[in-house]
This record gives sequence, structure tokens and C-alpha cells, in this order.
Amino acid sequence: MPLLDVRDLTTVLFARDKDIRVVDRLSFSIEKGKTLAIVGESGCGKTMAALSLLKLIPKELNSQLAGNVFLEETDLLALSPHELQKVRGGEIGFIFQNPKRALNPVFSVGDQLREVLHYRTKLSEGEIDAQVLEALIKVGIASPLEQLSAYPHQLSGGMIQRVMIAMALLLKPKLLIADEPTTAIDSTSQASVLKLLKKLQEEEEMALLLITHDMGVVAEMAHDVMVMYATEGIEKSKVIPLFKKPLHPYTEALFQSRFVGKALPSSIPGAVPSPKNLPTGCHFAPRCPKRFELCDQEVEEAEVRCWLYD
Amino acid sequence: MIEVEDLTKSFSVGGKVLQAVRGVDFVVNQGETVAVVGESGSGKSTIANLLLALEDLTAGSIVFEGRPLTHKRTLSERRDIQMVFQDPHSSFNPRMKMREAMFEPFFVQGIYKTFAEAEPEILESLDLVGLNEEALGRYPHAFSGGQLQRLAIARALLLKPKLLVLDEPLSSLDISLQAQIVQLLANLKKTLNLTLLFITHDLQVVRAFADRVVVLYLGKVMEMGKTELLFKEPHHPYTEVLLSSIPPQNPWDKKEAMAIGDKLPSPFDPPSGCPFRTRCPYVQPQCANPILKKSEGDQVWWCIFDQIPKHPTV
Repeated sequence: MPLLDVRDLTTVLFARDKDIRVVDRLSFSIEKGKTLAIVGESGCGKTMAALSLLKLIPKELNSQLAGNVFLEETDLLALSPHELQKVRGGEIGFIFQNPKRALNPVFSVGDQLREVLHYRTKLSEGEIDAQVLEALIKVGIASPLEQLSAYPHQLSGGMIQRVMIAMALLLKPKLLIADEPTTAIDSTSQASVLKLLKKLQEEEEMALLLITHDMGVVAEMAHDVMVMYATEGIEKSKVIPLFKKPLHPYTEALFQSRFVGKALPSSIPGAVPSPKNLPTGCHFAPRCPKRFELCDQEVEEAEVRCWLYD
Repeated sequence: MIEVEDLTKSFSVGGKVLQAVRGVDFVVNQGETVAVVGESGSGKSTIANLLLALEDLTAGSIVFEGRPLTHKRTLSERRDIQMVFQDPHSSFNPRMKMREAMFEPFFVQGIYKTFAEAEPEILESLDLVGLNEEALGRYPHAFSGGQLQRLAIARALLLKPKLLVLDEPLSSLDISLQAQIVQLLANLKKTLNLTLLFITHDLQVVRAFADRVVVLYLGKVMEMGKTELLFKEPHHPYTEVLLSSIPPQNPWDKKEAMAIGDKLPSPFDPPSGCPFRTRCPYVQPQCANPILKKSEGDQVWWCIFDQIPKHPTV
């Protein structure tokens, strides 16, 4: 049984004049200890999907969710707010793209780490201090004792992302959701943060849901991949077959837009359609070099959601 | 075309001196694309700002086509070097329609007094970046990041600059848009015979796009040379580390990135000698006195080694 099993997850935002479907019948699963990468351009619904798993979409967006999100046997979408709150940061940890914004600038790193354990466990002060220190050591922060009293602005992007990972690990999650964890940091730090995530994942048998637009990060980290386009999952595959032969024309185009070696990449013409105004049939058809008559009709959910592979 | 010598810039911050750029030398030849790479805090953007006279020099000189440039520049000196910034959303005034934003360079330079006079050139510039007249009636917020970055390039080209400085022009854009903008720049370079100074931390883009590379660390040049040679055979350990941090192309050719830790030494108190020696895997006592070395292929590096050693010492 997979650790996380998502079936037909659908997220609709109720805007003033219109209902906007931002995630459309998404299904995927993650095994214990494995990494699933969700890739796609911005605006495809990757972050919305991740936020939906834990009902984290901001209230003012008036969202309504449908489908099932099974974490082992529990359907998270059916939980009461109180029960769900225990899962957030507990069984499922979350780290965000911009680590500087995820920490409070007026509290020290140590205070913010300790707060998690204060709030969520019944440990004594001494035990909390010990665990916080242990977490910082685990994520490879040099001179951890000093860093406890540091404020977020005193740390580099890579170090803050390490602190965020340490914070997420305090409650020993079974699944860590990382939304573009290395996009905002330097390439040398990116390499070491990815290495760290991988090491921790192996040690703790933690599953990882990694959201990224960087195929290099996917190559480094993922076991499985889901490509998202305009609110839908359009290709699901193991990582090696996907890199050997991407099947969906959108996945192919994504690969061709990578900077690899000396050649200039080719871009995908046009832009991701807004979820307010999706084309009928296959959403990628207007930008697709391989489109044909059938593409005006809606494609069934499949491993490769394309009429070419019907 | 442009020759930079001993470029130095310090800022005073809270009574302490921050040395952002410390004696940087490089040249950019006519028609070349030169990339300046390094981690954040390496002084890349400060160099761009110095070239554009957005900051004044602490020491050193900038010679453009044989004339020395100070931070007080004539209109024509300013026209010759234009810049495209990282975040296109913050480089346009949100309350100005594109019509005004595009006319402003001509107005500031005193070239045209009315929009009608400038219009043919504005339309030509928009055409170069694949946009049209319709863009002029809209406000910046009505464009996507990619479109806005193209507008920023169009605006920078209005005054027919000889050198275009691009400060991380891709990093706020999505993958497929990055490819689009790089293609656009490559085409513009050909058609307009532009010279580009490209500031970035993305080495994959550098490899596909730049003729030469300058590798910066803590305000100093570590290595520079032709892109192809530098990627094939880096001579400075820092360049090697940067190259090893490029994510793999495919899941089956993963390689171990070299670990050097996240922490850049404080720019208030940079290490003496080779600034990289506190993180260098091959550090030696002699690193207090790095030597300028040259190879046949114009590659230049500051290090005690002729070649990077095979095995780390730490």
C-alpha cells in the first residue's frame, strides 16, 4: 500500500464572477521512502495541488476540494480541522520555496525551532533543547549552538533552507512536501541541500513530494515523476523511462527547453493558459506541434494523457 | 571595447567597510558575450552597477572605447551602455503605460520632444523582441514576466547601445521563457552586432550562450577564459566546485557534487590571500599568496596550482 494515495483531487476556487478549477482530478501515489517529483511550468497548478493535500489554500480564495487524499488509511480531506492540524507538520512536513519568508524575522532560529516542540509535544525544556540541537546537527549546520541564537537575516539562503528542513524534521514526518526548495538559493547550496534531503530521506525512510520546474533536480532526486500542465497530470512515469523517452508532447517540449551542453534550447511557443480560460479538449493542443483532429476532444485520465497514445 | 582595471568598490555599512569588489580586471571585446558568474555576494551585480555608473568607483578605472569613464557621464556615454535588470516587474514604473515608459529614454536624453517623433523607433524596437503596437496602451501589470522582460530589453535597445549589461535577466522567469529570452538575445546580438555582459549564477545558461566567462568569488576574479575551455578544463578549484554543482542531465549520469558548505566568509573580513582558501578542498599553506597563472588558450586563474590536484587535502 502506498504511503500517500491521491485520487481525483480537484480544487475549485470560487471567485466573484466565476468558479475556477485550479487542480483537476489529479491522481498519484507515493511509496514509503520514495520521491515523487511534480514538474511543469509556473501556473500549471503544482503548488495549488500540494497545498490542497493539507487544505492549506488561503481562506480568502474560497476553495472547495473534492477527491481523496489517503495517508495510509486516513482520508485527509475527511478529517476535522482539529485532526488535520495534527497531520500538518506532524506526519506531513512542508518546506517552501522562499525560506527567508518562511521564518519570522524577529525571533531567533532557536526560538522558532523550540516553538514547534512546545506546541506539538509534551517534552520538557531540556529535552526540547536537546532535540533542536540534534536536528540542527543532522542538517549539517556548522557551529549549531551559535546558530540557535542567530536571526534569519544573519543566515544565507542555503543555511535558512537547512533550518527549515530541520524544523520540518522535528516531528519526524512520514512525508515531506518540498515546494521548489532550491529555486531561491545558489547553485552550490542547491547541490548540498539536495544531497542533504536525499541522505535524510534514506536515514528516516521518509517519502518526499518534490515540486520543481528544474529537470536537473528531477534527475538528481526523483524515483517517480508526474508532469502537470494546466491543472491536470498529463504524464506519470518512473524517472529513467521518462528521461529516456518522454511520451507526452508537453513533456518532450519541457525537455527541449532545458539548457544542456552547448546548444541553445528551444522554447515552447505560447504560454500556459489561465485556469479561468482553458481550451476545450487537450489543454496543451494550442501549443502542441503534434496536434490533430482528435485533440479538440477531452482526453481520458491515463499514464500519458494524449490522444497519440490512446 | 570595454576594459576594466583594478575595479574596486567598498560600501560603508554601520561603521564597517564592506568590500564588494576588490581589484577586478577584465576586458570585453566588440561583439562578444561575456558572462560574469559567482554565488550571491560575489560582487557580480556591483560590477554591473559600476559599469552603468549607478555606483561610483572606490578605485580603479573603466575604459570604454579608449575613453575613461567616471560615474559622472555625458548623455552619449550613458547611451552607449544600457542595462536589463533581474526583475522586470520592478524595473517598470507601475503607473506608466508602456507608451510613456518607452518614450522616457528619448525624453531624458533630449532626443525627441514628442511621442510621435519617437514612435517609429519604438515600434521597431518592439518588433525586434516580437511585440507590437498593442503593447503600448497597457500598464506593466498587464504583462506576463516573459513579456515584460522582452519589453525591458526593447527599452534598453531604444538608444542603440553598444554594450548591453544584463543582470540575471532569466532568474525570475520560467524554464520555457528562459529559453525564449536567450534565443531572443542570441538573435539580437547577431542582427544588431551587440556586445553583451551577462551576469548570472546559472552555469548551464553560460555554457550555451557566452563566449567567455569571468568567475568571481568574494569580489575577486578566480578564473577567466573561453567558455568551452573553462568548462572542459577548469584550472581554479572554485570553478571546479561550481561546475560540479550543475545538476545532472539525466538520472543515470548523477555525479557527486563537491561539498564546500553554504557559508561564504564575511565580506567585511574576507580571508587574506586566496579568498576561497577557507572552503577550498585542496588548501595549502602557500594559498596565502596565490599566483596569477596563464594558459595558452587565454585562460587566466589565481591559484598556487597549475592544475587542480586529483585528491582533496581536506
